[in-house]
Amino acid sequence: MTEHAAGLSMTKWLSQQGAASRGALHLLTILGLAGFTCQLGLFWFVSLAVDDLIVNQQPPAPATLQGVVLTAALWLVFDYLKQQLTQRTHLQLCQGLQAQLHTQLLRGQLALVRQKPNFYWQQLWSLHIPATADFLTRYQVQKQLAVLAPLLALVCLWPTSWLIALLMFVTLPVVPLFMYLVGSGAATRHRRHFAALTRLGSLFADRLKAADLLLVHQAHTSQQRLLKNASDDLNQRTMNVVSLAFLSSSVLDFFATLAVALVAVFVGFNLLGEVQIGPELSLQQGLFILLVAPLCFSELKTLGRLYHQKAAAEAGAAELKPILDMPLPPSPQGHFTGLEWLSVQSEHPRLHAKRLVLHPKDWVQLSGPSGSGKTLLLECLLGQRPCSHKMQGQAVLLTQQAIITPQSLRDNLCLGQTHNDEKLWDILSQVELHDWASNLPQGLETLMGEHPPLSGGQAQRVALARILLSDASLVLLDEPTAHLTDEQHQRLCQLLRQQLAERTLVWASHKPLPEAWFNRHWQTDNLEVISR
Amino acid sequence: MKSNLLATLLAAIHVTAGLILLIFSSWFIAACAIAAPGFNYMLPAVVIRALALIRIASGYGQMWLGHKQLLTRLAVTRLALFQRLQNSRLPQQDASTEALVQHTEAVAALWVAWIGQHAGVILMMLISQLTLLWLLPPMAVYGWALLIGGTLSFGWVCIKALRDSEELLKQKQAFRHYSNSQLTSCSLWHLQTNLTLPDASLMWQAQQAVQARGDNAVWRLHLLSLMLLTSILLQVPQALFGQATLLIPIMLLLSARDWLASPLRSQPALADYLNGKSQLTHLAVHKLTRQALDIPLKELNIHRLKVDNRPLPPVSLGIRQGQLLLLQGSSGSGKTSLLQAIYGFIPYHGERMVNNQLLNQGLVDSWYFAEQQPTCLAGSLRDNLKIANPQASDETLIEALRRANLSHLEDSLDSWLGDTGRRLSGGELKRLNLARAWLSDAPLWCLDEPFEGLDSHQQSLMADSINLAAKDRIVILASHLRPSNLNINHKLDIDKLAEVDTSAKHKVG
Repeated sequence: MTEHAAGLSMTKWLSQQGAASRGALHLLTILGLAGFTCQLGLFWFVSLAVDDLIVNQQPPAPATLQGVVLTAALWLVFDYLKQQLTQRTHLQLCQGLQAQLHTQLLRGQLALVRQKPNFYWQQLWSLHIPATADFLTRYQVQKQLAVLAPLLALVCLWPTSWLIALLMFVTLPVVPLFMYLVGSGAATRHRRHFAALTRLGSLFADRLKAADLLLVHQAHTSQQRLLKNASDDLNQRTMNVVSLAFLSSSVLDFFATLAVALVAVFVGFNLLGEVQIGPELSLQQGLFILLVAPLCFSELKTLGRLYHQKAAAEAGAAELKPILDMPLPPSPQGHFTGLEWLSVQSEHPRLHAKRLVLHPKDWVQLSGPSGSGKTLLLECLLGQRPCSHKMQGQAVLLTQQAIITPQSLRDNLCLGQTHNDEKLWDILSQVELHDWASNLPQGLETLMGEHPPLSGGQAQRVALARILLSDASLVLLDEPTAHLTDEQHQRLCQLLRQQLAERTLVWASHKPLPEAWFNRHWQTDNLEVISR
Repeated sequence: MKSNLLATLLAAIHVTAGLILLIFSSWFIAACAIAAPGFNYMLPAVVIRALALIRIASGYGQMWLGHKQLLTRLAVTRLALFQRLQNSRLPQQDASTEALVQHTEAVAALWVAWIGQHAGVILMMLISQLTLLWLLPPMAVYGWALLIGGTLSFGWVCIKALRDSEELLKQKQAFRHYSNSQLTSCSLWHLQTNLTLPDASLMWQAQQAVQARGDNAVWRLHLLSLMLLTSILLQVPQALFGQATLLIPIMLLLSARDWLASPLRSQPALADYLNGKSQLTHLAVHKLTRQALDIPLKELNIHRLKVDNRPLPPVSLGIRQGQLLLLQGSSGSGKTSLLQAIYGFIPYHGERMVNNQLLNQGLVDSWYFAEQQPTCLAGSLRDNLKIANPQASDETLIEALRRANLSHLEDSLDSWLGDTGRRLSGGELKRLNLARAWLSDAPLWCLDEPFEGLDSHQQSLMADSINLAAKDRIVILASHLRPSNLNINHKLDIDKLAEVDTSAKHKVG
């Protein structure tokens, strides 16, 4: 039941995403209905023409032919418009969702992105956003059509033969009912096999990812055997589930086909005078009924083909919703002028502090066991996490591992800003990289590539150079020496002390640092920050 | 193959039976309307019901059989691919593994998604054209027009679909590349002034172009069929007035969209198949050779070992059984590459020698390597351990868990690990690697960052275990951490090598 409720709230969220394009989405349904109406009209005029040709043995009346041309042309036009509008709306919805995602990424930045692997974020773009748009522009529209179109068809049938219309009216609700019954039977079977299906289904990808492990242990042959057995088992179980699931679409096929067959026999016998139930029919009426009867099911059939879009969109919503709905503060701007915060609180995970004071030019040592909230606190100070207090003023962060992009050394230092060569060389000598840089083949223009010609310690000094080039006065250090050897650690610490003494600084570290450098000490313990 | 053909045949029958049912029914109605006395109405009525049953049964049959074939082909394709990857390394990225999964699906789906779709259309086109030629020769021209229009349309869409999917692939790669570099450098975003976040619009447009290609082709064929229909109605020859068979071309054209749409839209399946096939054929795998050592490992000597494109000078060193070598260096300095080259995972320049016997490039049977990011198989803990020693008894497994300080997992040999089961912490994974090392009983261990992610107590326990192993083995560690109780015989400072990049020999030991 909870599963069902969760599905409902996802569907609701998905529908809300269409709010910006509500008009276009309604127009899509209207265009679909208009096309359907033209189709009914065309069938009417064609059956008139056929009646003339076959029963009256004369060319169709000009009015009939005009009707054929007009309805056919309009049908094509509405169809075309619907296609175009679907595409345009689809792209708009995708871009709207992307804009929301961009906003969240710009606010959450590192704190948000590092929670998941790159592949996860890429899938938001490549799968989940388009799935949401598909759901809104195709599935939802088709769902409305599947309800409205049969009603429209029934209304058209009624004057021709109330008996057939009545029979159809009784049959129509039975179809979804049967589909539901068969579908839920298949779902029960699927649940019974669920654990096995998901485990076996992911085995191939899992063993591909484990290629190196298999190499080390020469386990390829045994794993090949395992995969063979697993896929046999998986296929057997899948067939067990789908043999029932396919019945569900067969139900629809069954009714649509039977409608044609029974209507044909009924109408034929009626025309022959063999059956005398309901009103007497002409060929025109009989043909019209024959053409329209399967139309009562056609939109439902199309909906069945699009059903996977609903599942895909719900899976997408489960990933997108928590990220797009996350309450993130806008990025702080301006200069840091100090803070005095009382009862600080952040959500998910819940970090709290009774009192936090940070004045300009303070040097704060932040210590505590790993997992106790040091990084969380730094992310709050960066303004990248939802927090009870709003951060004023920009801060810069030095992380555990420096990112060196494959571009040139200059691009790596400037990051989109422009600085003159003199300043860059000056900064490079401040971080003791002058000799290294001048030995590079193209100096500042040397491309760093996939494997930059730097040791870990040198890479951190490039990162320090970036900080020296920025004018943010608050500097946050998140264990910048964690991945360095002791020797490199000592060297970088000295350099940081020398170069950043004039800025406000919060330094999270596992490794021992000279007490004398700091005028404040913050201790994190089990997500609580204590000043001492 | 046989059941492939059968599934395709059933698919064709399904489509054909539906269409014939509609045409035959309309003919029956018309025939009834103008029936002369004595018209045998019972036979057509039976035919109609038979056609309906055939359609329903073949519909279920083709789905069932088609799906069964799909699964069988998928299994065969995947197992063949897996077989090919023996002794090979893959570029290890989530995206590339995912792509392989998709490619095998596309390759396996050819019959269901493309061939089966077309069988019905081809059969229907043939039947209808022959029927027209036989029953209504003056109307055959409309059949020809539809046939030619349809064939051209299919050919055109098919060719274009290949190009569209190439474009889509290009856009996908461009997006993946750009978003990867942007997301990887997310810790720099707050320093960047003019940051452009990844924009997938071009990829989405390419995706839409693929879909629009099919939709537009369906629309054009629909236009053609309605135009043909109109012109039939406009100029029926006098001789055909009052003929019930007139309904054959009329119904054929009126319902053309229904039976042409799904095969026309299925063209991307062919493009996916071709692309998947070529990707699988040209898969960039790094094939490794293996060698067995028939002599006991006494001494390993490395002479001027260098890896391409890494910022390290050639390295020379020597280590004997019972000794431990620490490759010390900060992360990113190239020690993982060096360790992988020593183990034989990646190609190198220079020489590796065991007891003065030269080794070939590639792996040595029974040597052990612990990855920096340990792999946990989707499987039970027992599966995860037994991979290192398939013959091991439960007692041996538990002994190995104890040696690796994982005794809290002793009772969980049967619990399922991995993404769909219990997730081990980073530290537990490091110790799982150690347990595998003990089980493998290898004479040489290469351990990449074994202490990372462990607290200091666990680090020293891990170091004890490694000290014990090093007594009668060769152990080579790459680590930036150095627990004080670790017994180090040799040390190579990678940071210094990287920073002072001279071509001088670096000899230790």
